[in-house]
Amino acid sequence: MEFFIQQLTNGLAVGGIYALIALGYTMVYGVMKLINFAHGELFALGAYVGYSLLVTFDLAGALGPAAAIGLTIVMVLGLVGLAGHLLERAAYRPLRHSDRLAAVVSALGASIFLQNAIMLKWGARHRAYGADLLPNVTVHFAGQSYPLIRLLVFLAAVLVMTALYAFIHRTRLGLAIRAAAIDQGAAKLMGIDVRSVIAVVFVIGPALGGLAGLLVGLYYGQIDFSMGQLYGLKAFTAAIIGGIGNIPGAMVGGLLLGLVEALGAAYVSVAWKDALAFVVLIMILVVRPTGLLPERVAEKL
Amino acid sequence: MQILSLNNVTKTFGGLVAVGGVTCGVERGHVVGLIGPNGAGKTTVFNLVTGSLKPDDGHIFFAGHAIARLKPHRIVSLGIARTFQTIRLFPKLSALENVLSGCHCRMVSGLAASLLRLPSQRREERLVLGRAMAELEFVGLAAQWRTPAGSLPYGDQRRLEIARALATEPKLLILDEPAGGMNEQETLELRELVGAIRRRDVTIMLIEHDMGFVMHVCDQVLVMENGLLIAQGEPQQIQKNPKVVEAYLGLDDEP
Repeated sequence: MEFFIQQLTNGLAVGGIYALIALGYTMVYGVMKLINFAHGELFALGAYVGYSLLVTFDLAGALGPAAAIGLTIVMVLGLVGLAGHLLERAAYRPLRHSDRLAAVVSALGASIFLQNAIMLKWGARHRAYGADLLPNVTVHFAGQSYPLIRLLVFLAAVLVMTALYAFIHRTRLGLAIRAAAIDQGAAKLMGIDVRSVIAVVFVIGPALGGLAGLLVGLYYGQIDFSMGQLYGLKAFTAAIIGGIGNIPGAMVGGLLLGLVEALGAAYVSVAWKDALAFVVLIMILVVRPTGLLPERVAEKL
Repeated sequence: MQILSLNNVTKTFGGLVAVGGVTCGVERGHVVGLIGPNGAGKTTVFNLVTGSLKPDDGHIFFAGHAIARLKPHRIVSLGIARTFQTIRLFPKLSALENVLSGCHCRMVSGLAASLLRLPSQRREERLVLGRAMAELEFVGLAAQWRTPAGSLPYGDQRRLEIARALATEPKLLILDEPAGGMNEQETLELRELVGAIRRRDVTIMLIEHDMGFVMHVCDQVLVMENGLLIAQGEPQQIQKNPKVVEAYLGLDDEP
């Protein structure tokens, strides 16, 4: 039982990270009908920005762990959001009126470019966040002890997702995003500046992906320049499982995938962890091709 | 005073001249009908005025601004709103949210204020909510504010589209076949609605194939055929105009 609960909580933490990344895919897809293949690299960029701040500049030594993490989160959100904006300007905006394949090729190119840029800047080797970065606190609950960081990762993911959901459903900008996702042409003629809606989506999505990168660094302690590929693919899977274009779907898909992986690794085999994730994808695509929560997917028939 | 004027506006698609040098004007406060056979270029004119298409040649002036090269959302904020020939509501959003989307361009708070939920912005959102409800009330859909637009009956969807367009606070409202697909009762109600909109000092331009409707509500009628403006005038004159009769009924060749 103890083993099961440990795996369950671990799965929720990893799933929260997948869900955060998946949100970026699903938001961009919702508005632009484009898969941002460079999203995984923005995620990796978040991990490296966090690395620079926490390890190279040793913010924790200067400010204490809590303030350092807080500042790092803000900086990662801001810088990766900015990177996302520049990416949209450079790689996608010039292609908005060309065919979709051109944008896909541009996305793949941007992905390769960013991955290599990260490698040139931070090197091809693994980087370690360092075990002593955060005090090694454990939380006791219901007769078990959990690492504090696991709890924090999960809570951070849930908090951000709730905030995003409220933003999309309670603010006028969120309404503009939803309207543009359903019908860009009609949205324009209702006075919505679709170009700036796209720009906003390309700041929020990457910022959340970057935050996920930081959380991975803190949770696993180790990052490398190509980490965006596997995480990106997993999160993309999560977005599809939930129904791409659908924000709650990305959250559900991410958590589900995290749980499947953690429990699969525990009870089947660690070697089969990734395969299991994709088996779930294939099963969902066979049984429910539109994903688990398809009813909110923007209708474009 | 003319609120909208088109000056020698031309639009071609490949070799096809959809609109060939149309010059016309719309008086402020009028209801102006744009009629003509299918393929005459009526909807193209609307698309040019709302900025969905850019003319190849010519000028379009609206309330003192040259609008032919502006982006659609800028034209909306200058005061032109439209509905569509085939309904283009946001089907998954509620009736109220659809109308709120139209209020978007009249709100001034920026992104930062929106994210931080500043008091000024919350006040504005409350204000806008009230206005959106008032528009729903105006078209008689206040009770259905929660209903997803896609689940409303057809006639209600048409009226919701009008409410959404009115929420942008237009000076000129463009209706593309507003009575299309409506039954007699609904058409009658629409006639009253058009009258009520006009009393709000909103100029209206509409495409409609229901001639009874056009003759009844319009002050001025413009007639197009093959991309050209072939006649304009008051409804009674238009009905007697031989060119219009020819365009609609074909020339009688029989001796």
